[in-house]
Amino acid sequence: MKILVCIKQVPDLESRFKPNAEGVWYSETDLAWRMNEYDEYAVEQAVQLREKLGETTELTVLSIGPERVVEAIKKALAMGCDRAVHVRDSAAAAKDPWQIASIIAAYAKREGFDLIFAGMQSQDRGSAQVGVAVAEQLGYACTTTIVGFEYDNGAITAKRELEGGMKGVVRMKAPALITCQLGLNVPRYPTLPNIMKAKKKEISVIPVAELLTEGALANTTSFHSPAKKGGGVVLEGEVDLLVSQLLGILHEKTAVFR
Amino acid sequence: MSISFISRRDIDFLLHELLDVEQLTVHPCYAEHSKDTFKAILDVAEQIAREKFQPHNAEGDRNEPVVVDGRVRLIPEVKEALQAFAEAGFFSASHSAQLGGIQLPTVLNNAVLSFFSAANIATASYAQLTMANSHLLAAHASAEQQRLYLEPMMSGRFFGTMAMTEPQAGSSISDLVTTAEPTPQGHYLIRGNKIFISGGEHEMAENIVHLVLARIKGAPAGVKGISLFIVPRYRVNQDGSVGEENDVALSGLIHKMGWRGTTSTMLNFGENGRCHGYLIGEPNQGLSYMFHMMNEARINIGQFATCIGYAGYLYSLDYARNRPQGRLPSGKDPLSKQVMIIEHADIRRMLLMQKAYVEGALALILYASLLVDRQKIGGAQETRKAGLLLDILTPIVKAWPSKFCFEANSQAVQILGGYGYTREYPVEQLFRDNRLSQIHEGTNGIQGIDLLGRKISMENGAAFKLLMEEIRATIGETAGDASLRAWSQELDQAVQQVQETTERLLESREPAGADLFLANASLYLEMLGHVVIAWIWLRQAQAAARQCETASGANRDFYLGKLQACSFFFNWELPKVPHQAKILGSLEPTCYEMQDSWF
Repeated sequence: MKILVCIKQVPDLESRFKPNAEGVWYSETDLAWRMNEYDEYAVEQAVQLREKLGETTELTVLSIGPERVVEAIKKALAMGCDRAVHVRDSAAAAKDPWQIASIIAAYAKREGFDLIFAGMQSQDRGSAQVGVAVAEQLGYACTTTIVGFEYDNGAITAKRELEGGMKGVVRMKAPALITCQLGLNVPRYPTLPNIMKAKKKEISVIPVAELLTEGALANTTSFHSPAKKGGGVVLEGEVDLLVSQLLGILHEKTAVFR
Repeated sequence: MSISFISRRDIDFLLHELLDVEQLTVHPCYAEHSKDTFKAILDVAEQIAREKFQPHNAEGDRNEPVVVDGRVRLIPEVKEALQAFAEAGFFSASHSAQLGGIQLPTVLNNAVLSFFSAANIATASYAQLTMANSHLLAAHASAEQQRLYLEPMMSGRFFGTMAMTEPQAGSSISDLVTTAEPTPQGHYLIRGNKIFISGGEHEMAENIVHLVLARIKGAPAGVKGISLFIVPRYRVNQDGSVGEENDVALSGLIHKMGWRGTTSTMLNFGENGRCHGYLIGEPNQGLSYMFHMMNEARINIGQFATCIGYAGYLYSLDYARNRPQGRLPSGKDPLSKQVMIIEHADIRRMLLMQKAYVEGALALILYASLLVDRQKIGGAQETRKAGLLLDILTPIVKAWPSKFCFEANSQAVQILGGYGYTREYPVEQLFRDNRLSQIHEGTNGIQGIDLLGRKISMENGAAFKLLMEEIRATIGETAGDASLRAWSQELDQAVQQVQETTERLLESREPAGADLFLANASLYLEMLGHVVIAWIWLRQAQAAARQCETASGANRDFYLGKLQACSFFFNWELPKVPHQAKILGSLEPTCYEMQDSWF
């Protein structure tokens, strides 16, 4: 069995973001990088399945981006992936979700994976489209935002998280793609022995031009901080007056008492 | 946004730009490592420290260990954190591949441990005690002892302690009275009481391996008659499983000012005559084996002190950046917007003082840790050189950070003002936690006596001479650099004063007698410590100045910050040396001559 897990390297969310010179994405200066949080759930689930199925299964991790993304790839290898593919692309951040999906799909098509795991969205772009678009381009079954996963001889049972705390259960057959949500599992920490072993695992490098055939369907035209809102309201006076003022504001401007 | 407890940027700077640790990977011992593996290991340490250690730091302080039904109970988060530490493989990291480790260099291992110490010293100390214990067993225990006790400590199944202090002996190890009676079966029967044993009792591991100093019956008096024993809480069966209790009884927990999450215990060994101990190495050599652990522990204490200071510095920095209060002296309008307190010069002074102390101390800790590696892998000449430098620096590595990084914690409290004095803010706990650093693993007073009484004159002053040569080499390298020249000259003058003072002191040793000669030893350590830290700062400034010209953005700010902190140390701290030299050189006798009845 062949499993693929797709990961993206994103800035640490505690970094200080500022728009780049073109004003269409963030500047990469002074940013710290890490694996996208949702992709960590995907890697963990894929590794758990790989451990359950044993040596006949091969787990590949794929990431698209400049040289720096190798760091995230190595983390996935240290978490238990068997081999890696680095699609080298210094302009990955300028590509839209459809193009990113097409690159992954082009690689997956030639490898013939039975199962593909991805995060439900990236923490920087947040489109939540790439996984679904990969499935579309491959003609795979797909389900998203999963918080529970079982696999039995080609049959997948996935629990989905819906709005308002509702849950849904989806059953489908491989080949399939699933996108992973917070709550699916607790990603393991890479162990030190596995960090050392990861050094010897294969990382294939593929230039993006080899896989990219699609043009962009959408372009980001602006990237900026939100406009500053007006200052807060400061209430002053005796307590009973303050309470009635506050209740009035809450009735008038919020849904608290509705 | 969470507040950082130690600066990863600073650790990376020290490891790579100051110490060039990647050079270690040239040696076969560390050839499996690379800059990438170092980074990945630091990443995991930082993540586990942030997610598993730091969140319960205050909780562990508020809920110190208690005895319930004869067993010590801790908050569950401590065990969970240490399990994550064990599962990641940190307990075994620095051991040889032959024993099952990954041969992580000591300098990296100590950088890794810095994250845990800064995040939560009380929980981290269980791990660090176990690791120091396991390093001693790796160096001195028999193969069988290693199989039974070392392997389980490397995986985190067993934890370790060192049991030296006795109620009647305190720091005076030569007065310890715990006994060991040989038996025909080969083991010894241990009897005695130990006090202040950190991690001496808990339920977080299958077993606790105490390293106990005791006297074999008939052994000579004083330190020459002390042997070292493995004394497990539970006996260990031949197949490695845990067996019956070993007559090690908890007689009480000690309630401390800080480090409250770490059990500090009074233990009775052999109350019922059934406490088995297993001799390590040769009889009467216990203290030399224990000093293997103690020297490592002393570097660790300096590191603990530094990291607690670092956490306070970063917290007070964040507070100062976000707390609006008052206006600058030039701002006359009472209705104008208040400034963040970091705008006030006196707050900046306190922040800069903390920065100079904790970043200087961390650089020293990692430099000393690198010497441990060089001592291990170098050729004969380098091994000797690293060993001599370690000998003379160890008391400074322990005592200087424990005094000055505690002072940093005091400044952090001051920056938060009234809030800093409350339990609602972490700087209060950090201040209490760090007070211990000057006391344990040999008080700072003992470190001063060790430095002036032994280390300075050892091997005809070889270690002292070598240290001065090393400092002078940096002075020479920086003398031609316009941006560093003034500091280079100032350090040169300070080194001259220290050398002259030391020579004068040593000449007066015989005529003055040992008591007067050593009376001001603590001050001597402080003086030499200040020169060493100034040297370390000059080396940091040298590395920062190299990068500053081409760096931009946050990187440039980082390097400028280094240069400014160096400037602070040279302008505010190093000038203390002439005054210290005056007191020391004249064998100033005020304290020595003070009489008991005059107090």
